[in-house]
Amino acid sequence: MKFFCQQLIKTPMLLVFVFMLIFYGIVAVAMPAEINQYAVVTAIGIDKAEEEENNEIYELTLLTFVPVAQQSFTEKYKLVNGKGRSVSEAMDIASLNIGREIGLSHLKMIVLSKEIVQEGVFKFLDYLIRDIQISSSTKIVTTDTLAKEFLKTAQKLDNESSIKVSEHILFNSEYIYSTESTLETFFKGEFGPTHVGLMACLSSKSSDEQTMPTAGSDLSNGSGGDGQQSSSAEEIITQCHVYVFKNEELVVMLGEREMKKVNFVLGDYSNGSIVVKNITDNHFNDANLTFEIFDNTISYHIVYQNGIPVVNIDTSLTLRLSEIEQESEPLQENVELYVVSQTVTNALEKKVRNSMADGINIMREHQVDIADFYTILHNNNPKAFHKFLDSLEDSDDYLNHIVFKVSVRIYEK
Amino acid sequence: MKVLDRSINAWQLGILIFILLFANKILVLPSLLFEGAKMESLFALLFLCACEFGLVVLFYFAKKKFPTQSFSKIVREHLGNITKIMFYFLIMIFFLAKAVLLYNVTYIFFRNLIYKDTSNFLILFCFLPIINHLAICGLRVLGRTTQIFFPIIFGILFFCIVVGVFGINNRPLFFSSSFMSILETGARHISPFGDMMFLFLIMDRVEIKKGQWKIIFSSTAISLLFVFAINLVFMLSYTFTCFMHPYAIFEIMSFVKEYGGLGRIDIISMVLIILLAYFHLTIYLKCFMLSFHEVFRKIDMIYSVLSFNFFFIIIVVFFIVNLESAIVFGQEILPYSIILPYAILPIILLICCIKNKNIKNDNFRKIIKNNKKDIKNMQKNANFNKKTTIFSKQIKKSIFLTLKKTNKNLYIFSKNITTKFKAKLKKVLIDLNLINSKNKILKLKKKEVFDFEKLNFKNYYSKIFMQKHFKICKRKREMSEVTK
Amino acid sequence: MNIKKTLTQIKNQLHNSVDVANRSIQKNGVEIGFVYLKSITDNLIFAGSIFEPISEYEGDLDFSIISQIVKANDVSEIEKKEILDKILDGAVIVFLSNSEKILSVDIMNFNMRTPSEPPTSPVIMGPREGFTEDLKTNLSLLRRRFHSADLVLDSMFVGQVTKTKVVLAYIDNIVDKRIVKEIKKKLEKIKIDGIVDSYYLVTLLSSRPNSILKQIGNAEKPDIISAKMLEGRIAIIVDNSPIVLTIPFVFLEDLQSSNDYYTNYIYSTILRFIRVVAILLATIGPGAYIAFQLYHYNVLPFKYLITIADSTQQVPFTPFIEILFISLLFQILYEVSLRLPSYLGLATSVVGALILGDTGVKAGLISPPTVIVVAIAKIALYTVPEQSSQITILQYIFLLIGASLGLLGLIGGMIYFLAYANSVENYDTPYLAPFSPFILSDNKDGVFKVPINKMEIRPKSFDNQKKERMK
Repeated sequence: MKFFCQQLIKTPMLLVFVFMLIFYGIVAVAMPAEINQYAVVTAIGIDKAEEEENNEIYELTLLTFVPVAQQSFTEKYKLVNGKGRSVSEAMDIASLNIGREIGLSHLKMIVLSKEIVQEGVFKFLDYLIRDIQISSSTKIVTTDTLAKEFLKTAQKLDNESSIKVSEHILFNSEYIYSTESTLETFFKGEFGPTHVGLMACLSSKSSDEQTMPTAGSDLSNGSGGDGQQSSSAEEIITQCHVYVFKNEELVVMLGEREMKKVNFVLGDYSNGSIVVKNITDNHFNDANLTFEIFDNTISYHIVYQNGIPVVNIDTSLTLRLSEIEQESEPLQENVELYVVSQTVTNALEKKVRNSMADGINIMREHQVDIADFYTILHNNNPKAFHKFLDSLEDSDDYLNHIVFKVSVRIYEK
Repeated sequence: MKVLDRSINAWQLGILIFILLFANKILVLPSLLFEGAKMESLFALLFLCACEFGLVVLFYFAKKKFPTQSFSKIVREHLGNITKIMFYFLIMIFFLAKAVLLYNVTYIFFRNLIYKDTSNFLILFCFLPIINHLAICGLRVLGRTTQIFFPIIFGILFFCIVVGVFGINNRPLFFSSSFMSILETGARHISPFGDMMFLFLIMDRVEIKKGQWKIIFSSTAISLLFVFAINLVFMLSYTFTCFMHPYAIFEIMSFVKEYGGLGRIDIISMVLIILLAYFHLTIYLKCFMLSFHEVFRKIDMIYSVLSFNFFFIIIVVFFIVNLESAIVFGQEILPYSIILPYAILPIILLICCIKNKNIKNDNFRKIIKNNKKDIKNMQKNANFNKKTTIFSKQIKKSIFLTLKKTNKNLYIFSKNITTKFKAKLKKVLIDLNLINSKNKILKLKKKEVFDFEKLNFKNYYSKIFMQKHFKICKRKREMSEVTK
Repeated sequence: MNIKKTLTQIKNQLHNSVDVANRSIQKNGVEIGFVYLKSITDNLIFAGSIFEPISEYEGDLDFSIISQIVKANDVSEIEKKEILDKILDGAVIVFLSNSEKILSVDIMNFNMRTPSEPPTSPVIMGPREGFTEDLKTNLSLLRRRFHSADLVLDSMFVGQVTKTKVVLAYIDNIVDKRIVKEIKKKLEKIKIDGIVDSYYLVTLLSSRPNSILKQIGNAEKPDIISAKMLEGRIAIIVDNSPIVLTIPFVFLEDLQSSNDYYTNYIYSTILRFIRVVAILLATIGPGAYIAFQLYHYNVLPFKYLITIADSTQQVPFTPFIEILFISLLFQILYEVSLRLPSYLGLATSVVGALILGDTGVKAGLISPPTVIVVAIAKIALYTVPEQSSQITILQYIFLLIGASLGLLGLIGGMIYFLAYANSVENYDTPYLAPFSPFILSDNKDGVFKVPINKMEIRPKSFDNQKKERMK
């Protein structure tokens, strides 16, 4: 003991450390688990509520995880509301309603209603982006219904299936949205040179589906008869649009088809399919062929002609024939051994070229540089590009003055 | 208080360099650099990394020139005691400031991310006792402890970078900054650099054998490469939103937070930051202690630790209390201190190197005067005839050694000769093919004179050894004897 | 020599102990006296080899004749001052009335355990002999393994009352003689009443006796000791103790098991990795778990959070008290299992498993994740049983640190502890060698194990005379 005390006196910081251990150790004896002090929020929905006394009121809906004393380890959630003149005020009130501090470290999704989006997204996201607990990979989506309703549907779906809504969005981001629809991607677009940000839009719909009882199951009320059927309206989540923002304002809502065309230009269309119609060649007679896309590589070659940039977009698509639809004759062709004919190749190239052209036109029309041609042109030749921009009346409208040339090559897998 | 400050080997030094080079460079710096000069700030970073590497090269030349001397001794001998004290005082303040900056940035990271609503004192008193203990235990213990943690640190760093690469899916905008903005950014953010000055403080406590310098240089290069890679991955991952992410090494993992069902893996980067913070602060404290000891030689080492703790706590609690003030301190005040490693230190070394050639050490003459009588007495008492004596004498700048042989045995006689000295001398003479391993003289005429400058030494260290010891012998005019 | 007087004197010196036997006979005018301790000599050998030849001898008896006719291996003339020591060593002392010389005949024989497999180091394949409490047997086990004159067995007596024989065993042309000298010096300086077990010497020979770190190696099997001696270590064999000590010691030795050298080297490498992971789990597992619960819930993945949150809802204790309670229960179970008679062991395991594990969880007194964490930590402890006491202490320390200071404190504690371990150098041997300082050649038998034909050099972690051990 004496030796230990002598050691402590020689190194006073050790004494401090021991004191800290004892002090905080005593505190730790009485400290509850941190999970019991915080309400773990997994999703936030922001809606516009009714105006009060000329003040705009916003309603915050929090999907909170509720720990329950049980052995089955199922997730139980609760929806908590809070209203306030700003997001932070609404958050404080929601916290009072729950009776715990809000913990946002496990936040997976932020849902904004259409009204909120039309009013201006940034003032709502500002609070959320400053909170360091919130990861920048949190999904942010809009909905054409109320965010509260959307969260209810999402909660129900999460409970009933193993696919979470956030995973649903991630999966679809590759196929449709061409954006991961996260806080990070949104702000990256907004703060980038194009000032264009994309946000996915989902909606919840009810579908009338009939549910059949399985054989041997108990029938409710036992009121005789076999094959009693029950029907209930189920809520599902569907893809809706992609919202395109520029300089913090909503510019355009792109539907699924329009987005697919833009995806061709982006070169992100690595999944999905292409349909060519009315093909007649040695193998087919007025058939509609569906090709699955395996790979899509895109490259840009830029030259300047008289100060105007000419962007040559070279696309290579690797496809595989997946479906043949022929009305007149039954299927005879062995799809596995089918070799794409020149007719089909030409039809595919034309289809892709047209889609890309449409995609570029969409961007031109709304002056939204989704494909980030600004960066491509700048990195290629900054001087020439900026000279070109300076020569324009409206430097924002550069897309309309750029010449695009598209070439497509099709490969068969 | 006794500080066990035994020496470290080249591997341990390499690891210390590897770890220290990350200090202050992987948290806030990448975000600040991007803010200043966008993607071109990487050029500024490259230049600063090259300057840091330059310090290591400077250390190499200094160690070559003064293999066993400490830096304080070199400065004292060539520039005087006052210069030494002033220089070391500045070093003290330099490392204290760096420690404060590092702690503040790291503390705020912890407080925001993993220790919510925790007081500053908890984190402060987690760090201070540990770094005190590590610094007091000595350089060797520090070197060994870092050796154990090195595979973990290296592995996590590599993992962070590889995982971070998966988060890159952006097209960065190049050539958007001017040359002046790059320079300005580099100058503004120079404060995390200059840590390699610690090598000079431990110069005499490092044993670097021949062929081990490549370890030092390669660990420096790899570490700087990692720093560059982290900065690059961060900037490519976040581009225009870098300003929203102040903690680079943590944020590059955030993209893959829910990694394939594993869940959060950014906890790994937190562990790395904690480990690095402990070691960085320990090295800074060690440097503070060493420089304190040079300034206040008569004060016990414990007071260096106490004063560090005192000033550290005062500054952290009362002056630099949040991230913004830490950044201002790092950008506005600390950059001025960088003249110490990049200007003052090279100038001092240059002066010392120039002066060293012409130095006439008066102390040697005193030793000769005092020892002349002893030497004569020894000669009288020693039972050997004249033919067995060997002596050396200097003619102008060359050093000559005259050997005489009898019975084919070599006799060298010296006052206070140690067994180590004898063994080394014997080794050198064997290398020179003058004697064999059994002390028999080879290829030697009755009286042979060697010019040391023209002798073909097998390695550089043998030459240094002979020059050093036979210079002394020459001055003292001592005889030296090695018996079988 | 007056036999009766002498015998009485000796009996008084031995405080008239009940096992002191003395006898005197008259033969051809010569009185012959015998004195010995019945409890440690073989009465049959005394009767057959000493008493019978003397009593049946027809001629005149004198000292030289008696020393020839006695049928025993160890017959020697001794001084008066050695009488007591020899009697206590199990010899019969023979006095003659017509001579001042004293004869000592060693017929020591007492009940001892036969060499068997020690419980602490079982092997699947390999030697199963273990040391016993008898020094002679232990020395014979060693001698059998070294058919070399270079095996030195240096004995000394330690303990003023017990005068326990301590033997230093080493290979003369391998060991560093400085260490031998140092050990001998330390042993000579020991002024203690008695050495009951070799563990007494551990504290007295360690350079930092108050440290929790183990600084002297030990083993119960002669094959392990022989292997260590061949590396240049010194074995200290203490009479009445089956545990043989070895110096110098490095932490790596406890990571190595004798089984590793009798199986495939790749499998041994895997097992060593598992041991390292087990040590880490045992030391910091509970501390990390409590730190995450109390301070860092936000870094836990969501699925784990659900599990922990749901299972800890109904528990009436705070997390720290709960984990302390479960750790204490496990420790109590362990203590009980050590001391309980074997026929009650089954009941204890039923009580432990069912009542603590199952019923406690169902009753809501303890939560399943905490039980699992503590159970894994306690079991992992015994992958390296030689370090179990140290790791148990560290487990509690890190539990306290984790609960008080969180992740930062845990990592700081690890750094502190490793720095402390690095500062320990026993007999000029760094404790954590060959990990730090990193010695590449020694790491061939570190966490990675190479085949024996690749281990050509002796360990460089400590000094020895000959580095090469295989060509």
